[in-house]
Formats: sequence, structure tokens, C-alpha cells
Amino acid sequence: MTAAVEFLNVSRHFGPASAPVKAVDGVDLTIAEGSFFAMLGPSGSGKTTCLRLISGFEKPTGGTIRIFGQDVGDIPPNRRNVNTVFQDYALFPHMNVRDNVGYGLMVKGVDRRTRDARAEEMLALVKLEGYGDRKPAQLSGGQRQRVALARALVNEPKVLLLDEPLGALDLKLREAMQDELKALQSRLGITFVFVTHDQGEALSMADSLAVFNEGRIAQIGTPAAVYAHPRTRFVADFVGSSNVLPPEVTRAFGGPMKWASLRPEMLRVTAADGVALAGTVTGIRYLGAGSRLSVALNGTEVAALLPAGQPVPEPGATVGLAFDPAALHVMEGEG
Amino acid sequence: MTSPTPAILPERGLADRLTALFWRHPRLLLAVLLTPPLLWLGVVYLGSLFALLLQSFYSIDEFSGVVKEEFTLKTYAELFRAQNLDIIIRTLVMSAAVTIGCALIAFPIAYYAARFARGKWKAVFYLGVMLPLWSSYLVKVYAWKLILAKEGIITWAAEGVGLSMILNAILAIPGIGGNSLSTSPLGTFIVFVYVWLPYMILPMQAALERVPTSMLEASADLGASRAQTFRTVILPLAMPGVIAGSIFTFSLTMGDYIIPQIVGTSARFIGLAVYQLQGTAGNIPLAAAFAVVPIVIMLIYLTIAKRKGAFDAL
Repeated sequence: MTAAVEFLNVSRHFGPASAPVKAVDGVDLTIAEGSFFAMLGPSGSGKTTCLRLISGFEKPTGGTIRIFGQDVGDIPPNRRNVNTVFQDYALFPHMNVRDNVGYGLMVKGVDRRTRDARAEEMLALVKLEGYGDRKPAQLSGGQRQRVALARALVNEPKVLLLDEPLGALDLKLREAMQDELKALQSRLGITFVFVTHDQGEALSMADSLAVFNEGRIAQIGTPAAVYAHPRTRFVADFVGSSNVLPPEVTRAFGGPMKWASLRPEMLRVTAADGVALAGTVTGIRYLGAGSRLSVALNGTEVAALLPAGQPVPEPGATVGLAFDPAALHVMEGEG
Repeated sequence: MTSPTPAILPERGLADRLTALFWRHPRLLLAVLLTPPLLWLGVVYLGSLFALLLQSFYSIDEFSGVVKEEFTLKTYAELFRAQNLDIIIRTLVMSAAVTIGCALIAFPIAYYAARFARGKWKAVFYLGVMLPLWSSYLVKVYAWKLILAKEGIITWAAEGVGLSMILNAILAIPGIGGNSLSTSPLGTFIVFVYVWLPYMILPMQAALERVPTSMLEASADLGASRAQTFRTVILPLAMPGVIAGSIFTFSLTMGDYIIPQIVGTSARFIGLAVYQLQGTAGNIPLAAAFAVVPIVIMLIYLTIAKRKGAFDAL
């Protein structure tokens, strides 16, 4: 498989050379053609800057970016066959939906009849038939999002970049759009690069994902691999809020003298008597589908997921914890 | 608890009573705030505009010079006499030229201020644009007369670098040139552009500032060149600001009666005609009719602008 996008030791520093802000710092990355790739990380971690490096709105201060094998160091955004769905959608307020969607064709000099027909096709693709005459201001947030998607797809881009496109939508709509985006991607076969800070979104949608932290990639892999085998404390905590165990606690839990990750859902809460691990309940967070218990144990706070239907202990109660030893994952990224 | 706080706090005099009053009757505050300016606008401003309109439908007795207070369109017909039509057309052409000149100069400045200037440079921009407005209009105009005069710095500098030929060639163009810059229509144009430029820059800058960067990026992202982005995104979105600025420059030029007297040929403009007709000539009806011309032209201009969709992005 060819690489749609390649980053070779790419950096983007801002500010003076003496004290640079390293938005992106030495990133190596390969995004396979036709894949759904997620860039996941907290705000300020460099994921959006990476996206803007692909679209050409940022220029790297170091390294090489290749799109389908071609070095794009010298290619301005309008010549990259890469389109973006912007976070704020950036629909043109003075044009109706049809002209917004047909914009990419208009600037290429396609005649009005052809581009109107194409715009209508794209609107049908995002289930907005008949909305062509409306102005963006007359649409709901979800509809604007679809128009932005249709507009970005009209040029048949080689890579579609999505910058937190679902961030402004409410939960229900967001889940529906996640499914639709996923279906659209597999239907069109276009490479999607998706930036998000929502780990649930990244895990459920991506074929592979990169976790960003402080301008660098902390881990890259399939969602299942990243979730099951986080390399570092940061990844373990950011993706799925795992229990990060210091070496001595790992030891107490029956593992080696190393940093380890233990998923809260892998911990079973039992009666306190006759188990090796017992602690005091310090907090309970009700989640609907269950409860998340905080248990103080050997001086460390450990989170355990209690499925709904099980009796919830009182705060201050002593409980036992049990788990399958295979669930204890030692992180090789930590020394 | 030692000192329990009450659920309802006691009233602390007049300020609290007024607050309560305005809270109970939300429209009262609006009425209090709006009445004085509305009275001013309604009575003083619109009233005098109406009086002006009324005067323009009267006529003057050619023998006695007394205003006849009966309705007639005779005075308006007078506007279409060759010499008066000349004044109107001259003013219109000058106003249009000044507006275009201001727009061309203002756009790059406004664009820089809106897109690139940050912090200190933004302050420098505002200061630079506003500073000329702090000094007297008359002082500026007379200063320009000296700058543009035959013995002035421009002629001197042109001679110094050997560009007199070009200056003389420009001054030789009929309709624009003249004896020197300070006695040519070109000189009048230059001074008008200088004096009204801030009124074009500021609304333009405000309009450009409201165009989000992501919109320009979206345009480039979809394959547009810089020129295409300018034509299809920046200009339409900035249009309300350009129109607002052009209303200033256009109407200010049309109404001005001082600059054409000091700089340029002594050919009359509408403002000067109004000034002379109501003063020395004592022909108030014709002065009023002349004064209605800029109002009508502005209304036509705004109607066309609206038709062309200049305010769609508002």
C-alpha cells in the first residue's frame, strides 16, 4: 500500500529561535492510502498543527512532508489536492449552500450547470437534497457540518482532513455523524485524517491513530493495540483513563518492578476478606452504565469500574480488588 | 451561626430604588436613554431637513429677489441649466474619483491592520490614521496648498531628481492639469483624498477584521488563487465596510465648499454653489435645490449597492 501522507522528522516551531515554542517537534508519521487515521491528543499537543502542515497553512521549520510520494515543501495550499473540513466549518456566509459546495469547482473554471449538478450530487451524498438555495445562517449546526463536508469532497481530494469536525455538535448528533463519516469513508475510499481530543471518537472510528503529546507522537498504532498496550503513562491515562501504577505498586500487584497500566474495567470489586488487595473507597462517580470507584490502596488511588446492578459500597468502606494477571500491562516506554 | 445573613438585602437608598424601578419596567430605562437623542434627531435634524426640502420647492422672484412661498418645480428646473448641470457633474466626477482613490489607497492599509498588525503595531496604525484628524482641517488644507504650489516641495523635489518633465506632462493633461498642482483639479483631488482617507480606512478595517482567517484558508484549501479569494470571498465580505467608507468620502466630497476654494481651479462645486447662493446671492430656494442633489445621488447610490448585494454579508 502507498503512503498517502508521510512526515519525515517534521518540526514546526514558533517564536524566536532562542526560545522556540515547539508546536510540532520531530514527528515521523506514515498514513496509509485509504485509511481512516486519527490524530488524538489534548489541546496544544500539536495535532492541529500537523493537520495544517498537510493542508499547507503551516510551513514546517524542519523535515519533509510528502503527499503521495511528492515533497510538498514548495507547494501552496491551493495546489494540494487535499481538502479540509474546518472546525468552525468556515462556510461562506454570502453564498448559498449550492455555491458553497460548488466553490471548489467554480475556482477551477467549471461552468455553472456542471457545478450545480455536482453540488446537488454532493448534497445528496450528505443527505441534504433540496437545501441548495439556503444560506449557511439558515442551517442548524449539524447541517452546516454536512455542507462543509460536501464542499470539501466536491474536488475529489486525495486526502480529506477533518479538524475536530464534530466538536460543536451535541452528543446524539455526534454519534450519528461518527457512524456516517465512517460509512462515507469506506464508501469513497478516500484517506481521512481526523483530528480529535475525544479518545472515544478516535477509538471507535479510526483504523489507526497517533497519540500526540507536547508536539511529539507518544504512540502510533491500531486503536486496539494502543488501548491494550499503552507505551507511556501519558497514553495510558489519556486513552481510556487507565490506572497508571508506579513500579512499587506494580510489584505489589504481582508484576515486575516497572511502570504498568491496569484498565479500570479489568478490576473486579469483591468482599474485603481473604483477598490480597484491599483498600478503602474514597469516592464514587455514577456513570449511568455503572459506577467508577476510587479506591485508596497501598497509598495509591486506583479506579475500578463497577457494572450497573452490583451493590455500590459506601464511601469509607473497605473492599477487595481482583483482576486477571494478564490485564496488567507493563509499559516499555517508561524507564 | 452568629450573624445570619438575611435572604433579602435591605434597600440602600435612591440608587437601589431606581434599579428596582428599571427592573420592574425594563422599557423605562430604554425610554429614558433614547428620548433626548430621538428628540434631537427628530426635531432638530429631520426638522431642518424637512425645512430644506420645503424651501427647494419655492422659487425666487427675479425682479424683487423675494422668495415666493408657493409650490413650484421651477427651481429644480433651474438645476438643469448648462452652468448648474456643469457644477453637478463636476462634483459628481470629483466625488467618484476621490472615493475610488481613497478605496485603492485605504484597502492595503486596512488589510494590513486587520490581518497582520498586532499589539504595538495596531496602536501605531490607529494613531497614524487618527492623528491627522486631531489637527485643524483648514491648517491641513493650507499646508497642502504650500506643498502643491509652483514653488512648493513637490515641484522642487521633481526638479532635484530630474522628474520635472513628468510633472509638467501630467500638468499639461487637459481637464486634470493646470498651471501648477495647487491650481489644478488634480491638486483638489489629492487634497480631498488626503483629508477623507481616514473615513475610508476605519470602516474598511472593521469590516476586514470580521472576516475570519479560516474563511480565507477554506478558499485556498478548495483551490482558489489569491486573486480568486480576493474577488469571491474578501471583497464581498468587506463590501459593507467599503460601502460605509465610500458613503463618507462621497458625501463629504460632495458637500465640501472649502477645499475647492483654496486648492484647484476656481471652478465651482455643489458645496460652494450652495454657500454662495444662500449667502451673497440670497437665492435660498436654489441653494436648497442644490443641497437636495447630494441626498438624491446618495439614495440612488445606496439603492444600486443594495441591488448588487453589497449588504448581503451584513
